[in-house]
Amino acid sequence: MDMRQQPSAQDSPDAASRHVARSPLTAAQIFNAYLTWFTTPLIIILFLLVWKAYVTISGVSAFVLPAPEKVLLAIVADLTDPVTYDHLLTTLLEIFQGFALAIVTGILLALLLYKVAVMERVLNPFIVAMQVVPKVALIPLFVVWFGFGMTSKVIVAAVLAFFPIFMNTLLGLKSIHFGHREVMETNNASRLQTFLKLEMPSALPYTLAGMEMGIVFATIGAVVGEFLGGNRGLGYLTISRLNSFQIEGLFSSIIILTMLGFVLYSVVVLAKTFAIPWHESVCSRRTGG
Amino acid sequence: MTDIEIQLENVTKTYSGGATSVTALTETSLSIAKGEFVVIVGPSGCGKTTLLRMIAGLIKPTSGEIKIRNKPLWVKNAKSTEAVGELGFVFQQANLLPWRSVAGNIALPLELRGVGRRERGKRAEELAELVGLKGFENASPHELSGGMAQRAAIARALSNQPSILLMDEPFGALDVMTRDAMNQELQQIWLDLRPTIVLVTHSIPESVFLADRVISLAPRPGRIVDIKDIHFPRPRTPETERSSEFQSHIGQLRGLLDSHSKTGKQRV
Ligand SMILES: Nc1ncnc2c1ncn2[C@@H]1O[C@H](COP(=O)(O)OP(=O)(O)O)[C@@H](O)[C@H]1O
Ligand SMILES: [Mg+2]
Repeated sequence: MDMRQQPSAQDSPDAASRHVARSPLTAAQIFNAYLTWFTTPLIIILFLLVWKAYVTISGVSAFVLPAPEKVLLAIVADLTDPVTYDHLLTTLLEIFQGFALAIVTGILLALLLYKVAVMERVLNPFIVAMQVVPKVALIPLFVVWFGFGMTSKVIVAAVLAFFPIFMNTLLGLKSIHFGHREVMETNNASRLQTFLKLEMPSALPYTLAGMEMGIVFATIGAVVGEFLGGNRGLGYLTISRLNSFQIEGLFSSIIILTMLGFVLYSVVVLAKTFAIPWHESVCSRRTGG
Repeated sequence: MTDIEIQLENVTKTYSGGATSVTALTETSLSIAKGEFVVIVGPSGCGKTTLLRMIAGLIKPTSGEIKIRNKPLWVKNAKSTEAVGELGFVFQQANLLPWRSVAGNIALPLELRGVGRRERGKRAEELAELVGLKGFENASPHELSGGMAQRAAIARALSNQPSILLMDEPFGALDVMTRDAMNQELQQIWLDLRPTIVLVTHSIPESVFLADRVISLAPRPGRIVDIKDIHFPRPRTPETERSSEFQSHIGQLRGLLDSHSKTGKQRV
């Protein structure tokens, strides 16, 4: 048997399945793929209807639960007001700076602990201790140390986002496949080559998973930081509306914050699909598992 | 006298971890000639992988000396990269890097040696064709079947034109038909390029089909119990396998390994 021309069909089932993938989709497959395109708006509309019905029937005070159309008007008012964008920009900058700081320090510290095994042993008790501290409880302290300006919020965002990025990166570095390492070793790869061509790409999916959590935590950190001090940012806007009983405005700013969080998270997830298209967490989702 | 490529002198390897220590290989001496095709057989746990990894310099012998082309592999505690030279290692698993294309994996050894992009691309293409992966250069490893992944791993091990090719049960995970085909292919590669090959298997028919010399190992402690020369002309074919001489070699080896295993049962 001459195996040198092409792998036989039997030997390469994946070549066969590629064919299947190219064939036209059935109605059921299309339905499956676009299911959430219909269900998500449907559920939202249903939710709004129930909300409206409840407000109308129960006669609940508008200070507790305003009607959905009132909230919608408040959102429109907010979105057409340039002041909102000032607040948004402030919060966004805090999140970005905190997140960036967390990425840099998280990766560097993970690398340090990975490369210098003694460091990990020495620092491990402190890392565990810091992990179990409810870090949100430290926010007042950061306000005292770093003032009511943006710096304290950036620090809070960074501290919250740091842990998932750091822990995941370290885990990723430690989980490098032993067989892959031996491939590098039998080829006499230098330390730098091993780092660039094995350790970095191996740990990247873990770092990105950490960043996925990190961006959510950075958002929480910045907003809660703004709750507690200062006079700028969407968190501040939310609290000031609570204090002045602007209940529709309160709803509006919460919804804007939610959308901000959603957009930021989506950006990180999108970055991930571009950065590691080869990874199971990305490609199995693409092929629908 | 033929050139000696790999030489083991009284090599012993003991793994000691915590309370237990396992002697994986004991007092083993062996010379392998340049261009020779040596196959090592034996049941699981008899030290085959250990032997191969010591030749590759991945682990250091507890005692004894390994020389590659007459140069000691270990000088004090440092591996002599000069002695290692151009080595290809095919592991039991394909160990392809999932973020690289098939071509990128095949050309990795060249990349690590500073070969330019254009030359790498050309070599990867040639090697993909050699192992029957033409058209899959840009595929991703997760798109490959087990057999195809193992071919890519073989192509990678060949890419730096190694003078020594070490293979640890390279076809162990494959079905019998694919395995037979891969054996033929490997024989052809060896005839074309003439590297020194040390291949580990626990399939006795595979060992007789491929080898110039079959080295049998027995466990507890791991040691060489037999060295058998195989003289069939090359290229060997399925016809060779049906000959009575081939069958008698298999019978002898099987009897030998059985007599050394406590349970009297042998995986083939
Ligand atoms: N890294 C290791 N640490 C401790 N014991 C090991 C290690 N590698 C192999 N061994 C032991 O050495 C013996 C030989 O192993 P190995 O060389 O892998 O055998 P084979 O490849 O023939 O199956 C086995 O008893 C195994 O348990
Ligand atoms: Mg083994």
